[in-house]
Amino acid sequence: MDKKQIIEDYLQGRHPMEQHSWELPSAQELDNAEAEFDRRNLTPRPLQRERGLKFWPFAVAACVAGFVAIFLAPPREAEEQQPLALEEPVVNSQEPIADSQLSTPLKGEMEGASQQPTVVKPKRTPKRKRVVPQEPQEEPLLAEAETVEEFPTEAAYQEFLDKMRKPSTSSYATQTQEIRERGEQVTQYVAMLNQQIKTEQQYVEY
Amino acid sequence: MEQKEFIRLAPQLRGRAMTVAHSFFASEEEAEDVAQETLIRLWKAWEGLTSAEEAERLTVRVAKYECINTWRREQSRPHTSLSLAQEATHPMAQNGQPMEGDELSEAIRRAAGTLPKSEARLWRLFAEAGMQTAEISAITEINVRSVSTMLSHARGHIYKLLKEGGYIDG
Repeated sequence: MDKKQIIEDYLQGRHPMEQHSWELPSAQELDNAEAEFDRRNLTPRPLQRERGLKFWPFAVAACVAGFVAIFLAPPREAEEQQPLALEEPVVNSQEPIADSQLSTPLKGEMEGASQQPTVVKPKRTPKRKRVVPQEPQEEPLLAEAETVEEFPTEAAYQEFLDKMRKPSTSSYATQTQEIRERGEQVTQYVAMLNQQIKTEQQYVEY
Repeated sequence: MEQKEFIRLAPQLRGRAMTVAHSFFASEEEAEDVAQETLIRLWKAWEGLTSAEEAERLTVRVAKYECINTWRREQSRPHTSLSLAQEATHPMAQNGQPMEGDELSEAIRRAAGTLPKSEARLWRLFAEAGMQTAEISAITEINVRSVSTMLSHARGHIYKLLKEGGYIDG
């Protein structure tokens, strides 16, 4: 048979090159293969192993991403810090200006002597204080600042001292909170006493 | 049963064969190969089958048989794929001389071996199993037009290699 004809037949699907038998296997062969298949399928499947191998790269990548996120994230203190604010302090035009302040041209000099020269000085704003939630006071021992003129009675003072001396049975955090509250009350009480003394002095002068 | 019935039932039978193959092989490629071989055997024996139920039962059994066959082949020649692949990249380079007789069959086989995997599967169904486009489409669940395009591309590729090897004049 001509080579060209063989190739032509093959390319048209009329002349297979493989000597492959597509016959159905016998019943005996099918039974044997089925038994072998079931026996081998009882062992751990390679599918699960491959899935496990596929899972690992993603797990490692997730861990690396987590570490990078932690190390690259800004520190918590930086988040709380406020941006720098520019403040223009009032400068008296009668006072002489220091040489160090004249090292850069001033806006007032550029525009004329009639305007006051200003020095821009950056000033860091104070940090925010952490807000500690306070438990509401059950019964205020002393009067608030608005009622400073109402002097405390001796009985109220004794009650206050009793509460100060009473041992606390609460937890450490609660004790700390209580001590802080008592400190504030003592400060308030001293302020009231000062106010009382000052008032009496004024009365004596008049 | 008629061949029309095969085209109608082929996707369902392919699904059964793929399920069996997936339970045995981890690789999708091997599962595809097993399903294809199973359906070729069924197609060849289709006229002797009497019902869809019988075809389905036979599909499962033949798929298991093909799984064992494929596994045994892999066990017997585990490291020959690389050398075959290297050989296939130059299917016609045999001392620069064209071959005669059985060597032509070998040259054609090697040229077909250089096809991409997806095209090689379709080409095998067409050139070796003697299937038509509609049947190939039913077995592989690829659109008929896409099957025609891929077969045409594969044919051109093999023709080009044979021509470069000196088997086709002009």
